[in-house]
Amino acid sequence: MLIRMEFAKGAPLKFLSHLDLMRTFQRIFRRAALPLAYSQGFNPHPKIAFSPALPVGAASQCEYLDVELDAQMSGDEILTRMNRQLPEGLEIKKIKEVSQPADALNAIINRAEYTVYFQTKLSEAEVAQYLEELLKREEIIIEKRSKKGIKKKNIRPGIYKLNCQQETAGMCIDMVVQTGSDGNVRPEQILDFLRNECNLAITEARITRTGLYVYADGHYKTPLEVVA
Amino acid sequence: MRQYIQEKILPHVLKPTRYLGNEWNVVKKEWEEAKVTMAFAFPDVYEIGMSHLGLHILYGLVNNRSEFLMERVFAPWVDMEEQLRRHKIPLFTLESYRALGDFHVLGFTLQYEMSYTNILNMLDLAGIPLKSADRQEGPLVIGGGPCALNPEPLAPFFDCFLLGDSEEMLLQLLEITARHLNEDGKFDREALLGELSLVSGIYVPGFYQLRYKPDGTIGSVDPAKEEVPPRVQRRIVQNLDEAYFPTKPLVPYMEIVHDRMMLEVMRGCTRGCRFCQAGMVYRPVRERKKDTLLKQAEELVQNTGHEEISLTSLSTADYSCVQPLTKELLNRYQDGGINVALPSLRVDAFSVDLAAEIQRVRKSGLTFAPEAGSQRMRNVINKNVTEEDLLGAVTAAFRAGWTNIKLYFMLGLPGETNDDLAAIADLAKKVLDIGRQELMAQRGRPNITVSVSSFVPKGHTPFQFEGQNPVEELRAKQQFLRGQLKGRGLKFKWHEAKLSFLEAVFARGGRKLAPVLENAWKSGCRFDSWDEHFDYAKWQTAFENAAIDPEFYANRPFDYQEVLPWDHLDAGVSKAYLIREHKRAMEEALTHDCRWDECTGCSICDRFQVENRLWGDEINVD
Ligand code: SF4
Repeated sequence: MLIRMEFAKGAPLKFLSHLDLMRTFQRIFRRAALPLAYSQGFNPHPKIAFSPALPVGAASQCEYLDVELDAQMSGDEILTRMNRQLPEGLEIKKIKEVSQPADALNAIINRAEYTVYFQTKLSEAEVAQYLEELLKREEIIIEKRSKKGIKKKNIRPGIYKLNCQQETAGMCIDMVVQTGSDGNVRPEQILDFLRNECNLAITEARITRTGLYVYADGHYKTPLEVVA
Repeated sequence: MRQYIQEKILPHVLKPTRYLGNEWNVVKKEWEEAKVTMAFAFPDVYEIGMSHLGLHILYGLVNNRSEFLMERVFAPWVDMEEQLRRHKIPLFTLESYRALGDFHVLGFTLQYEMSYTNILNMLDLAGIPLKSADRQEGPLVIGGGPCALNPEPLAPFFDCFLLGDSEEMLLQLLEITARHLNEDGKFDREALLGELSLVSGIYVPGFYQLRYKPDGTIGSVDPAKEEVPPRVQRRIVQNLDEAYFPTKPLVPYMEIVHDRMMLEVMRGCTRGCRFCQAGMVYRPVRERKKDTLLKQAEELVQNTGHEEISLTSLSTADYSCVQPLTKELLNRYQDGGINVALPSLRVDAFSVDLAAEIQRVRKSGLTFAPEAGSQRMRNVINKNVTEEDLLGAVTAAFRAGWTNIKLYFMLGLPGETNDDLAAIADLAKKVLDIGRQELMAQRGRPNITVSVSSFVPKGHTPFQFEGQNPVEELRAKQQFLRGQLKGRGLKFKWHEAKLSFLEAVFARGGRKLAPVLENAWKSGCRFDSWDEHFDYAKWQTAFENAAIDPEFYANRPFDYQEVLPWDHLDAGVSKAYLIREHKRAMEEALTHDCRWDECTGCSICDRFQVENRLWGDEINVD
């Protein structure tokens, strides 16, 4: 059976890399003695697939994973067994059985929503002004360092929403950006741009992913809704 | 503090996971409820420290006792050090983010000479005075592990050292410390050390006085007090099968060097390689019963979720129940996606068969350690393995589908000639040829990696009397081999000769080296075993400033009569035996393994009331 899970990743595990997180879940599943299905071949590994990687240091309220089990088991049973094995910082929020074969999470998820809190002396109106200007641009070029050297990339087409709001914890930007296999915009890239090009002083930014969506035909659906 | 560090500092360092300390199975105790608190310090980064079995054993052992508490600290990487210094945060433990200075006991494990500067750096980062004599307050600083058997270069920095297996001794130390604690949580250092020095295995360096001869060698080492024993004996766990073993070990989040369940199948090795310190200082052989190990494995599987069980020891293929144990583990866990691994292989076909049974090891390649190229040289070092054994083993390996073979050699061994060196290259080429033949049908290509380290004479071994080849000579030998080992399918790797030189200096050196360590650390040395940080020029200045000639320690042969810096520390194997073995080496005579044959007279069994303890025969009976 195939299971889709929604989970949250918070402090202190927000520092875990995607690879660390994958390893951690494999170990949780084994400790929970779930009947994992393994791939065939020389180096069998459990069949687990994750939603797009979260930036290291960011927390998330809604990550997803698909896991294949060799035997039938109720969602409640899975949840009880897993809850005993979850370290502080991970929380399973929902579990759903998925009819196979489902499209890979990485292939269907194309939008991510983040909230970013930071400290600034500017007023809400001033920050809003900056964001508006930023959205008016046709190109927002960032430099990506890779093994082959520095590559330039226009991230503007991948930015869909930028709103700001003054809150007690600081200034908060709510953003919706592209994610997944067709392209990925990271909140830090937008912050860097605001810092460097707009001279906006941003310190102690705290990033939380608040949503991952499958966007199609003008509708945002969560990965759990699309398999409903 | 935890929140401050996690919010303000960790986002700015590489691999913040190193400093989270929230691993699965972590033990977090109420500080106030613990009578004695101890920080276990590993003077290298998290990934290396967490791979060390000893840490997990002591962590579980001490925390199992309600009145004691143990937390961990690792050497912070340079970026973290910078942050700590900038924010003026003292080095802290991972469990409670408490400063090291708050603990009653601070214990360093001494695995490797080249981590010594990290120890000084960690003390300094914690705001603890480096020298024992300058510490009126603060934790009792103790050290254990293999290098504690010659800790003299570190002597002024430590209050005491634990020699040998620490399991029983450490609990004793904590109990005694508890008795010495006053209402305010402080203790009278001198009185505490006085009592500790009477415990078998505990060495208080401050209680020994050294006299030197005009030529710089040691005249004598004498106890400064009457009741202090003239020689300190190493402690040995007699019955390993009944010894504590942690089956609920910490499970790290980040990838570490050995990221798997560890089953310690035995301790000790009596094969008697004459260069090998572990083979001399962990005698005799003490095995665990197969059933004990199976039970431990079951608990480990439930408690960790790791995907691999590794059977650890100095030479696992020698474990008398290795075959039935491996088979049983595979039967039980393979379907659950759990693999079994043997980290150390002997150079023979039996080991290859065993490895072949464990299918998944195949991918990673196989390593063999013939150590020397020529039979003559292998006789000198007492490596009881022939060229036939090795060629047989690699043939079996290629046949079983391995294409990557790694061969370990040492250069600069006592009495080594050019012929012996050339034999290394010859042997590697023979292995390559066999690989080509065997793999032809399978359309594979053999890859042979020849990894050559430089011989480092270590205390408590028959070769402790031997000087190391001077650096230039080691380099010339490396160059020679490099020339010989060019070509398709061959890869040559070697170690930085200057690093091996420093290793020899501190492995064979005495107390006079302490100022050198301090100088080197002050000038910025740390993480010396990491290529990107090793800076020999700084060391050279440190030696000059301390007016120490490092070659006096590394390159000079030691006389049999000379009082060596570690002679007052009794690792078990007698000096007479080491001398006899050294002489036999010069005669190229082999000494057999006492495990399966009669005693060869190292004297430990009688003097320490221990014996080789094997379980294989009992299994064969039923
Ligand atoms: S005393 Fe004899 S039997 Fe015991 S370890 Fe030494 S050589 Fe082996």
